Parts: sequence; structure tokens; C-alpha cells
Amino acid sequence: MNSDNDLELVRLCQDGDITAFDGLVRRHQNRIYRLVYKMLGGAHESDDIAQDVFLKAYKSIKDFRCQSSFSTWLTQIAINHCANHLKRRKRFLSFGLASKRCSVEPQIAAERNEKREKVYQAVNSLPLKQKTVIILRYFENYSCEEIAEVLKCSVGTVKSRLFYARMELKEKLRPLLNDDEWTENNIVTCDG
Amino acid sequence: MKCSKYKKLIVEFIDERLDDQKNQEVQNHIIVCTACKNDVEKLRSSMELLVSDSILSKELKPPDRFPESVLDRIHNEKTQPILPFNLALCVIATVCLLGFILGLRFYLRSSESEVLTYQSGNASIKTDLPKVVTSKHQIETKFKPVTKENIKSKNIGVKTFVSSTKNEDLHQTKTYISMEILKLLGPTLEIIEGDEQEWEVEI
Repeated sequence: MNSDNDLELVRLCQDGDITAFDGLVRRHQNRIYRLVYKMLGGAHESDDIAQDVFLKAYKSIKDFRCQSSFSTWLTQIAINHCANHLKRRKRFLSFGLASKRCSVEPQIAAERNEKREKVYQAVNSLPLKQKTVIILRYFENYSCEEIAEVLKCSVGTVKSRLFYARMELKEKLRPLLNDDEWTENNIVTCDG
Repeated sequence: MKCSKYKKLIVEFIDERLDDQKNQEVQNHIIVCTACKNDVEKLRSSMELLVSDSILSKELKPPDRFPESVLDRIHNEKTQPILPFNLALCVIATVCLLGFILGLRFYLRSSESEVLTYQSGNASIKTDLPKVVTSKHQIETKFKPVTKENIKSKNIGVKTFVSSTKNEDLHQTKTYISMEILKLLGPTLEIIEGDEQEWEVEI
């Protein structure tokens, strides 16, 4: 996605051109919707929350100073909004819950198997910060540097969260990996 | 390098994001370290599960008219009448006042449940105050007497404070007033003698 085009649309939007914002929505809707969907665990509110994200972006677009890419800025809004939403509701819905409102749900649901459900559950059960980095890294293919920019933290922090998230996932997904010999001892005794 | 240091590189190693030198170091290490090799394999397997899912998740798309819905909401918010500032201020003030009244009632009720009874002379009062004043002399130097005038000048509106000692409800009346004074004026209220004219309060 060309960020120059984004910036051009942002400038037009800052000048009051709402059709420019329509262009921004169309360019980023899939990514933001996917991110929100994953963050909320496939909850049925995904549509509304994704709309909220764009609405918030529209309201504060005049404050956007182009110091980061629009994509990063929008992702920050999405992550924060999802985090707030989850805190408000204090619930973490299962990743794999099918939603009748999602246009591709039947296809996806048909392709789902037990393994994928387990993966969903494992990711969904992670603490929010770990879950966020895993989603950005693996589902959205962000680099550690990009995640650090989005989350406004250091690359080291991102790597650390990723490491612990993966270790946690490794444990949670162990039954899927068909290895009885793989034990906690492997993790704690290999120093030296 | 110890295993713990390699473990920090494993994540990036699996993601193929290490520079050539570090990548080679990890590769060399996992050849000789079975534990780390296991970690790499298992982490890689679990990550493959994630990645395979992420490919499928690319199919996730918002509803067809998503952009139109966003723009509709923007238009709706723009056309929504904004609450006039004065009205908003009135609403906020009312809410605050109600909150204050409810809070005060709750506080007074909770205080009443903890009162202790002190007695002196022929008058008694319930209060949750510590009995710290022991002589009239100390009181006079530290406190001002609660006379009708003092109470009026403080505008605390406790006309019923000085009431007849023959009133059967005096005890209750005093209790209530003392609590109110406590909330309004502060920490200490004591009885010196039985006459309510000698009640004193820290001002």
C-alpha cells in the first residue's frame, strides 16, 4: 500500500474533503477489520468497532502530523480502541466464534478444523499485550520495528513480549505438536 | 554464548530476521544443543500453525457496504444537534449536586453506625470523636465555644442545636447536629459539662 497516496488523501481530508476519507477507508478497511476481528476474538461487535476506529480517525485527522505513516497511526487507534473495548467488557471472546454478520464466515467456518480452533483459543487466552504483538506479527505480518512504532515502545520490549507470548503459545499448543518428550525441562535446563 | 542468550534470538531466528552472523551463530548452537534445537522446532511448528491461519484470515473482509456505513456515521454525527453549553453545564451541576447529596447521606449513615457515647454531667451525646479534651481551660485556649452566635456566623444553620434540655428528643437532636458539625467543620467536638451552651467545637 503506497503511503504517499495515503498522505495525499490525508491532506485532502484535513482540508475538509470527505471523499478523500472515503478513499482512506477503502484502502485500509480490510486490514483494520481483520485486526479488530482478531483482537476482539471474532466478536460480533467487530463491524461496529471497526467503524468506530475510522470514526475516531476522522475526528482527529486534523491532529495527524504525518510523523508516522497513516497506516501506523490508524493501527494505533485500532489497537487502543480494541484494548479499551476489551477492558470495558472485561471479556475475551473465543477467536473462532462464527459471526453471522461477517460476509465470509460460512467459508471460513467450513475450513476450520480442530487445530485452528486450538490456535485461536491459545492466542485468545494470551494476556492482551502478548496477544497484540502476536496478532500484529503473525496475522498482519508487521516487523518488530513496526510493532514498536504502533505500540510506542522499544523494539526490545516487542521482542520480549513476542518471546514470552511464543513460549506461552508453545505450552498451550503442545498437545497439537505431538511430542510427548517436549517438556518444561527443555526450557529451563539448557543453560550452561 | 549461553542458551539463555540464544533463546532471545530464537524468535527472530524462526522469523528469519537475524543478520547473517547471528543467524549462523544460532544455527551452530542448535547443532550441538538438543534442548535449544527442540525449542526451535516446537516454536517453529506452533508459529506455522499461526501463519497458516493468518493466510486464511486474509479472507476476512468487512461487510460490503462498510465504507458507506462509516461515512453515514460521520454524516449523522455532523447533523446531530449539539447540547447547548449552558444546558450541558446545568446537567453536569445537577449530577454533581445529586452525587454530593447522596454521598453525604451515605457518609452520615455510615458514621451513625460507628458512634460512641460519651456522657458528662446531665447531658449526653453520641459522637465518633476521640475524647481528647480533659479540662475547660484547655478547651478555651484551643477551641471557641459553640454559641448561637458562633454557629450563625459560621452559617452552618443549626438553629435546633441549642434546644431545651427538657426535650425528650434532645439526645437524638444533639447526636444529629454533632455529626453535621463534624462533617462541616472538622475533627473534634466535645462536651465539657452537661449544659449544651458549653459545647465546643474546633473552628
